[in-house]
Amino acid sequence: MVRGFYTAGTGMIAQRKSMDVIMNNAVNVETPGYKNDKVISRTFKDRLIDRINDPSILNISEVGDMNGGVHVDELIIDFTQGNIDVTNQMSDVALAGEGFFCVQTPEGERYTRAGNFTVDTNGYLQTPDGYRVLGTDGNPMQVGNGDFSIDTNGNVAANGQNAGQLKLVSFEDEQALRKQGDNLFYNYGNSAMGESNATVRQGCLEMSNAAMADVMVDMMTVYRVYESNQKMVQMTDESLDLAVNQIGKI
Amino acid sequence: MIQGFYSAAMGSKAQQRRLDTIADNVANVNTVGFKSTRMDFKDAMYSTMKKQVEGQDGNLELGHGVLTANTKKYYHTGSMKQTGEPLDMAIQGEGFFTVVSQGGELRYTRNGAFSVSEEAAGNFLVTGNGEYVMDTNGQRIDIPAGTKGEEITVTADGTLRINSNPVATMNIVTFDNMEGLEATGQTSFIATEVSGQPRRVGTEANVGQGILESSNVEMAKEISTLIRTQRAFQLAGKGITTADEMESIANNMRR
Repeated sequence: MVRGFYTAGTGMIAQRKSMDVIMNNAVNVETPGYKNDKVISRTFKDRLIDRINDPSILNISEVGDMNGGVHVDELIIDFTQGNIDVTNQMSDVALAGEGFFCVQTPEGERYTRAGNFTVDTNGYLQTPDGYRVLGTDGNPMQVGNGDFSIDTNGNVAANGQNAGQLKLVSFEDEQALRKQGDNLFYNYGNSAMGESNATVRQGCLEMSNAAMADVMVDMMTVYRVYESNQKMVQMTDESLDLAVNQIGKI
Repeated sequence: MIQGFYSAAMGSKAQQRRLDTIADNVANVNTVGFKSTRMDFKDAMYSTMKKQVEGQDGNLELGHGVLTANTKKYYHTGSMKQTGEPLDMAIQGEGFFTVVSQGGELRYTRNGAFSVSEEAAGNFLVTGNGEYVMDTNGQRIDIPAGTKGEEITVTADGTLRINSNPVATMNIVTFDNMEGLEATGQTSFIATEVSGQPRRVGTEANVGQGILESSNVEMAKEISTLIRTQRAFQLAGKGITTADEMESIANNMRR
């Protein structure tokens, strides 16, 4: 079959998968601590094309490289700072700068930028799903049941006493992180971790870094590329139609 | 079908739910003692989009949309409104009045717009919903018939006096985890396992007489959240339309 079919087909499939990713960004424009996914496409490996059946050339000669289309190679997570919304809620915390909060889940330590925490009956700071936020000593942070304040370095003072410091980490290779859902990241690539220099702001919440304008532009671009690829398939189809039905006509 | 369809549909649903909480807040902007709610979102699970090409290990985790994470109630004190009515009370510090419903359920409220009921058993201090205000002994508060408003005074710890004679002390309580309280009706709450047991509050309650606590809904914030919700909803709608048109392109490839 004509190679053009398959090449255009890979284009359509890649754009469709891109659209899925963009859609996920679009519906998460209001999710606190959400980080955009960006799609990186790559061409398939190039293959060498030889020229044959050309009477002017004595031997088979190389024409050059050509590849068989495009595929979605990987997703890059965009860790740009999201907008900080002032909520004046004591248990909301935002990070300005690079870094993540650490939370304890049954599957191990996870990381998040979403600071919409709550306090449970025993005075522990936790995420809305019930995962406890960790302090620098490695234990869940207990803020007690009264008022507590958190300074810009993450030191927690509860009822006038020092209750510890929030554990904040930063990663050498942020792309080693993968998303898990529930606004959590996990260290898939085992990147080295260090302390974070982010400023902690109590009473604020970092919103999603997915911007509506960007999402709309991406959606439109992907849609039009999808459409162009479809036109390529149709044109290839028409060419074949000519070849099969017209040229051979007696 | 494109995964995008489902993600976009979840987006619409999530924003609609947030719209409901905003509408509730706005409708209660004038309700005494009302506490506003806020809804937060979280992203849904991720799964690998496709097989990796030739031994690569890049990130191919595709998200599946958005979910509502929780609804948080703001317990900030609303502003205090002077009314001058002797039976209008407000807790200016932390705490809730303990009340019992007609059916015997123990509830807690910040709504101090009280009045006196006239029943065969006596004249009791009641809330606007007909719940009886409880004192520290767990009894209803009896106001003798014929008592004039000016004769009733209330001190900061909730002690009610008629002509300077103490009658009863209202049971003002607070909780370990206020966010764990369950709302019943507009301004009453019931204790749950998560909120912990009520514990008495003394003079820190700072009960004031002749004042009412307004709703803590901030209209400016609600309107701006409403606009953001509306735009997010439109975006999700655009997503559904675009996904639909892409499928239509695929379907119409062969005429």
